Amino acid sequence: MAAGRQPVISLQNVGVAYKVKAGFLRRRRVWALQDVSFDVYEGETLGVVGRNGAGKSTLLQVLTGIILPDRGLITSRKDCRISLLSLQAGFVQPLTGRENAILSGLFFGIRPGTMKDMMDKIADFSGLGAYMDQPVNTYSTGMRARLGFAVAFHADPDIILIDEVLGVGDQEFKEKSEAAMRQKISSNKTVVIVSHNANTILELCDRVVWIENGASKMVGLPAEVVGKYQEQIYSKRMKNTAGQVRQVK
Amino acid sequence: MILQYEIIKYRALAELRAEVRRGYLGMLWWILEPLLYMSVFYVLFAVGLRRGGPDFVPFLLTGLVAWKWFATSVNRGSGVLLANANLIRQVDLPKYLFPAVSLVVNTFKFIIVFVMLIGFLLWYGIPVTSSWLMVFILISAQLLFSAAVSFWVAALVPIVPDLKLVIENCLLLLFFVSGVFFDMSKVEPRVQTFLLLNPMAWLIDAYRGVLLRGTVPDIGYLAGVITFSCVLLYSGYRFLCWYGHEYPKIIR
Repeated sequence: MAAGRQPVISLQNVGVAYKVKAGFLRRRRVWALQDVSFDVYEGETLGVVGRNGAGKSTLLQVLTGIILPDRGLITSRKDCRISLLSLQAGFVQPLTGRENAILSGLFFGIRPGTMKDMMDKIADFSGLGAYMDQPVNTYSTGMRARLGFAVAFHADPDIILIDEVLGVGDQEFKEKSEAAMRQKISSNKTVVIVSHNANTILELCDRVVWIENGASKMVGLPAEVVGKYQEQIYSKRMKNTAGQVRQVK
Repeated sequence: MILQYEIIKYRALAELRAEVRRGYLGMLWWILEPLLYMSVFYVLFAVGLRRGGPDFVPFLLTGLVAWKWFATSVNRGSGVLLANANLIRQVDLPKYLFPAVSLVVNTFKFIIVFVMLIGFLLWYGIPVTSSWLMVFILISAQLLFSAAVSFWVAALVPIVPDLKLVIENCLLLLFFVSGVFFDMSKVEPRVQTFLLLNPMAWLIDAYRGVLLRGTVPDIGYLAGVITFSCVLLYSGYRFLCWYGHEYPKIIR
């Protein structure tokens, strides 16, 4: 599906190191990502699977440009708004839903004026109704997530990165957000989804990257990669076989 | 660039609004808190220790108002990246925005207190002279200096968290040597030259000169403070840009 197109983001042997305290006045480097290589193509939905601690969240931060790789290379197309679909990033608790929507919009690069014009749609989509004028600290967790999702969805970045988001809110909103996501995904939007839920990945993605111990272990079609991934999970032997990076296009 | 200006404006407004909505007394705190702060020192020095002599109260308050603005800015600046850790890990924003927002909030509150101070001086019977106009230049110079220091502490504290304690104690020391409650001109000249290396000591003395004594501050020193602050501010800004993508990794 992605063949022949230009990559919008390209990672080559990307590694990210964290500095960890190692005694008095000493720091040690810990590599959260060792060696990750793959391309993200325009209009595709790319899944990222991997166990907890494999480096998925760090990878999303690298893709968004929040952190830069310590080794390797990442190139992304210019003038491309890449956003992590982070729910409720930077909500100011005593402010109302409406006020927070405008603040959040700013982080997606949306001007307050534009945000105000979209407010009715956001209120409608989130289903919060009169709660939009209530302080966010009176919201339930699900309601906050609804607001966050509604803002992110309407901010409409060029590339959306999603961290396990499709489990937002109650059944009704979950269906709504999933439908909305699906619409985005089918509307030629570039999406990267990180999940350890194999079903989500199988259902939504065009291609899948499997991250294991900070390295891209396998890139390919969903059925193939997820199959291998699950095989390894179910086989109790968690032997470290990282390093055999396979590029499948 | 315009968007960054909007972020500063809306975040600062949001913080002020949040403060108003948090407490029962809301906006009243912007007046009450500085009043409480200053009455503590008033009680301590004017009533308790019986220091000062005539006109000590306007002398003390002028120093305290200027000092509090600086100290709060630096203190807030030192914790500002940590306070926004969640945001920093989820959105790629220029890091200088965070100390800038906190500075705008503090400056807004300072302006309220400063207007109160001017009201007090008028009520006290201090004569209004043309030198009062210089106060705007002094405020601008202090704004630059506070911004410069808070950019640097905001940048360095996440990297070396131990600095936070050092900064707190440095502020305490500076409070005592900035001449908040003694007259710089009565200090022995050798010590005075040394103490005036601290821009806050000079600024506090200059505020008093302009407002209480009707004298014009030393333009050479003023230019020095402004130049020094500009260099420090710009280098702090560059540092925050240069190191910006490391903060999401070290803040948690």
